[in-house]
Amino acid sequence: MYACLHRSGSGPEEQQRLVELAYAFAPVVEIVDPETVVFPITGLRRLIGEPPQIAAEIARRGSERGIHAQLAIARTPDTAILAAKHLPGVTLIPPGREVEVLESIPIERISLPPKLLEVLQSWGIHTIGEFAALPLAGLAERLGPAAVELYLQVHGRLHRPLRVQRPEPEYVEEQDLEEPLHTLEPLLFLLGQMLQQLCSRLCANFLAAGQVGLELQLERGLTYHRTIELAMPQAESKPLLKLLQLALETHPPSAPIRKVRLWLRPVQPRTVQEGLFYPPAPEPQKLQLTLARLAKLVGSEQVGSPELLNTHRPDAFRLRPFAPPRFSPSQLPASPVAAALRRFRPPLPARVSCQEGRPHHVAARRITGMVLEAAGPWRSSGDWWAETRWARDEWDVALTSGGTYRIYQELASKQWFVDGVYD
Amino acid sequence: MAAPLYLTTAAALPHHQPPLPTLPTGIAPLDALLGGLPRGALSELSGPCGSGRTTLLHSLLAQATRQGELVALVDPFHAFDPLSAARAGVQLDRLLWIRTQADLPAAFKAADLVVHAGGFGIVCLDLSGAPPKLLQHVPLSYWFRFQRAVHRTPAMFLVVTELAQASLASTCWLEFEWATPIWSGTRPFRLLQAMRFQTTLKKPGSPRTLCWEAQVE
Repeated sequence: MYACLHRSGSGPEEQQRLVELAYAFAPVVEIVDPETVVFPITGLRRLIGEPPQIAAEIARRGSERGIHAQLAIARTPDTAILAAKHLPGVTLIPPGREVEVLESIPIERISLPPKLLEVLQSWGIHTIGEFAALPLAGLAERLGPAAVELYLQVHGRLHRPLRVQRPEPEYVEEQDLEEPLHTLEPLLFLLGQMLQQLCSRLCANFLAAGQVGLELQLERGLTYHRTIELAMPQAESKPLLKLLQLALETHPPSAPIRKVRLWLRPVQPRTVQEGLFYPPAPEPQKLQLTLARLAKLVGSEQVGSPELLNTHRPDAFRLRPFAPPRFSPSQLPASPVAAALRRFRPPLPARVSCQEGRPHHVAARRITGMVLEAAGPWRSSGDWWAETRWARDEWDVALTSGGTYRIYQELASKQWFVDGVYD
Repeated sequence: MAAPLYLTTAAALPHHQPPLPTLPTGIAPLDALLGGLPRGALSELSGPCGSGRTTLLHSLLAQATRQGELVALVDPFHAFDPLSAARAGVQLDRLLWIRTQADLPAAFKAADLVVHAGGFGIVCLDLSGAPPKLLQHVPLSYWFRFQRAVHRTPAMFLVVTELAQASLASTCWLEFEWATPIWSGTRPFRLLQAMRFQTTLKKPGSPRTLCWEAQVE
């Protein structure tokens, strides 16, 4: 037996209350639409009693929560939905008497394909009672599966499993502390226990963590937030604890801790089958820990993969988090050997003397010499519409002291710089 | 009493050591001479700033990333030029670039962390530009630690220096001389066309010198 609750014009909050009421009676609930839920009540017979008592109990608890909905109890979920949507109040449909109860419902109020509705109306069929009296074989021949489905629904013979939507479980652990924590060690002990609990729950649901969040309530009304995005989903507590430890050591809380709240964002675990002849790569967990340790050592903004920016501005790049793409075997053409520029960051200020408009002598920190040969100037400029506009003349110069350098003169300030050396 | 003839000492046994796998450098004369730089070993590229070490390094990184390997570069002096590397064929999204803001101890620690994480095809510690006096204080055991970390792995540990520092622990040592620019055109319309580099293979085997060129874009 199934019970269906329907309340027309429900908002999100009322729908949530409707779902909560359904979950108070059954572990599984199908949310048919924002206004309707259906759930099994077979297991309640020994607990509450017969369907009339169950209906009374549902109505009582509903009124306690301020929910005034139409309720129907029937043998199949679809019959219960049909009754709850179109019959007011509480409707109990004893098995085998579905047509008797539903016969007065006008057929145009049921969501049917327009073509089927048109045919039925042209036949003079206006109520479910009239429809139910038609022969099943004839309906199947003339009107197809939609009519057969409706026929089985109104006769209470369409059995199907519920389309259950489980609410997203939250993976959160909280702990209020009797005494404030002043040091990292007891906090890590506590976090380790909480992580173990959360990870075992994740594993039980075949999930992994994609993000770890830590919220600490500190003394003096302060709060501490830290969120760690995991490049690779994990469900083991030890690496997660290590990541939290590194984060806490890098950014320690500013006051003693009174309350700890830890949460994990569940994601599907990533299963990757590598090829036998693929190049070796670091283990994802180990790589993540290594990146976290490197970030702690030199700062997270100093570790990553360079990405060239789509601009003509010299030395334009940004550093993005290291997340290498999966290897796909492909034959990339080999590039010709290109001379590398080794940059000086920031560029070295230089004193350059010119003869006939060409550099003649260059002097900068650790670089001094007469110019043997020079190529240039190569003028470039950009961002003239912004505050960051730039314009410069570049030269390639070979010096008597050895080395071939790229130097440039900023056109705005007329200042010379050594940009790099061909190495 | 003389030892029986069928007994011998370990030192007298023929030394059968399989040759180390190598990674081609992408530079034909070097590959013809060496077959590439050895994996599972520490290699050192030493020479003045402007001698071709970075060009060879970019070429190696390009070879490794083209094969799908991940590479790491510890760059304490922030000298790496991503544009040059991309032009040399380095797939930048496979490169882990670690900058330590001229902090040499942090650079050594970072290299140690990466090399012990495993799985990287090349780990390079670029010490070019470091004060020689500071580098003299680096204990030899550091280099041997790096060498042991990559031993019997497919990884290669590269050190780029101005004066050789790790030659005792290195399996391969390449020394570079000042590069010679190749110009085209007549004055004043000159164009830097290529760089000619001179490299001496100091280890393994007896020293051999070779020249090679790289285009300037």
